[in-house]
Amino acid sequence: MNRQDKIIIDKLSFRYRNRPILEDISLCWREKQIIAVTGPSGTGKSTFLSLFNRLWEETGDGRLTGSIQLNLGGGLVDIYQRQMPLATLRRSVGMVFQAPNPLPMSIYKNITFPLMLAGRKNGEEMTELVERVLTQVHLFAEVKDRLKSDARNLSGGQQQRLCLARALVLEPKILLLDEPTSSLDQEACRKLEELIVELKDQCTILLVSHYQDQVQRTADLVYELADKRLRRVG
Amino acid sequence: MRTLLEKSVPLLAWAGFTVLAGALAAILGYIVMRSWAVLHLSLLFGDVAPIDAIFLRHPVFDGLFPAVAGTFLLVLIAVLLAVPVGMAAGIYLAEYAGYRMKSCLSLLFDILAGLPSVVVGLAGFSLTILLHKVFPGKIGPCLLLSALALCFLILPYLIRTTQTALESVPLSLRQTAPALGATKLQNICKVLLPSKLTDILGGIILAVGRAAEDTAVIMLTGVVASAGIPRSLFEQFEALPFYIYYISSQYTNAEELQTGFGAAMLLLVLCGILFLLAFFTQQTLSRHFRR
Repeated sequence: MNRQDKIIIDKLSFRYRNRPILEDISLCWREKQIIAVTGPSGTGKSTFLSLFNRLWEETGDGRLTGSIQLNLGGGLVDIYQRQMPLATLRRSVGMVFQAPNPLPMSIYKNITFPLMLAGRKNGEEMTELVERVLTQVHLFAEVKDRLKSDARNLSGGQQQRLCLARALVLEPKILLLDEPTSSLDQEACRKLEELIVELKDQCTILLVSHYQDQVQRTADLVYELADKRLRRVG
Repeated sequence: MRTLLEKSVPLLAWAGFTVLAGALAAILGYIVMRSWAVLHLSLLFGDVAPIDAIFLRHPVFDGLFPAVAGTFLLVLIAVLLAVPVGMAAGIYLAEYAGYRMKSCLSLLFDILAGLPSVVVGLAGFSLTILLHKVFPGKIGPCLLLSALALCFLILPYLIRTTQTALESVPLSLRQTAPALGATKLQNICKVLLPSKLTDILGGIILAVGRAAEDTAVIMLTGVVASAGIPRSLFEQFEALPFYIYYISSQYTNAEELQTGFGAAMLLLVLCGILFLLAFFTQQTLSRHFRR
């Protein structure tokens, strides 16, 4: 174990509805890296990602053995131990989904929603925070005059950047990106890729993508998920 | 052949819509036509000044104001009782119940939805007799018992609407808040319910309509032909649907029947007001959540 170790996976196996998805995976990743996972459709890449914030538990019917340890600021912790509060874990491990999923509320409220959940009160500090994360994802200039309008009226690319801003507002230690550019056009895709590379200095990023060229442009480590195992390919 | 079929489907759909819209227009037109002559303030307030009647300074004996007020109170109390219970049960079925429990309860609520209102009325009547025996002279047929029985009648609509609305939330939206650290309850209250507010309010509007038109249930539990405006939940009351039923089966001359049509018109207007109230509530809540 190294001081910079951010993620340690030990003998991890996962079955979903009695179907084996992952078998005996052991890996160790350092902080501030972009780790990409590629592979054919249906091999369980998204499921693999959902193991890091335990989101698979929302749909149930899975069985996990082995362990995942994450360094969320206070040293490595096993995220599947009983004492691990789920809300704390999910605030430290941000996630952006394949399709943009803005909440049915305003742009401003979409960003402040996770802060409210964390018990932060609305105020000037929060407004500054909204501006900061929206600027970080290069969206503020485009939406500054309509922060109170429905987030679902934004374009697909803008919605996805909003979702990224929403994940970043809690300053996560690890960011999970599940094919974040798959529903975007080329221009929006390029903008988001640049953003992902910029974010590397801020957190460790796990990126699932089936675009080889995107993976080559952005990732430090590349793994292929096939036959229930992760194999390093770059 | 395929082209013919493709062309005939929209035609049939239009034909169906036209028949339905025509039937609705005919019914409304007929009620308006038959009630037009009696639609003035005296239909509501009789000889009493409207202000005096509204502020309960003088009782109205020969107008429909007590029946309008009784119907309004009855629907309001029934809906206020049914909405929290119905929504809670719908949320339980959609979000918490296991497969077996869900199947079992769904079957139970479907049976309840299929019960004729007179059976619900009889159950209410039995409850009234029981309460009358337990608390002699204190509880009899009254507004509260009628509202309770009506609540049972409209509960299945509310439960099913809430359950179906919540179950139709797409997985991508369902997982958004938990991924941001929301608990299950926070997800339900802050994301799932607000996102399906329109559907749930649609169910409430249907329930309002159902509660406002039912006669069998209230006939057996508390409504009478002449009671005035109830001063408490434990008093008997008048209601428009009962008045319409009573007058159409007992009328002695054409004027009395015309008053029945006037009552039908008032019932339609009252339902319209309640629907608008539900619609504006939904709009206000939607705006509140989106801002």
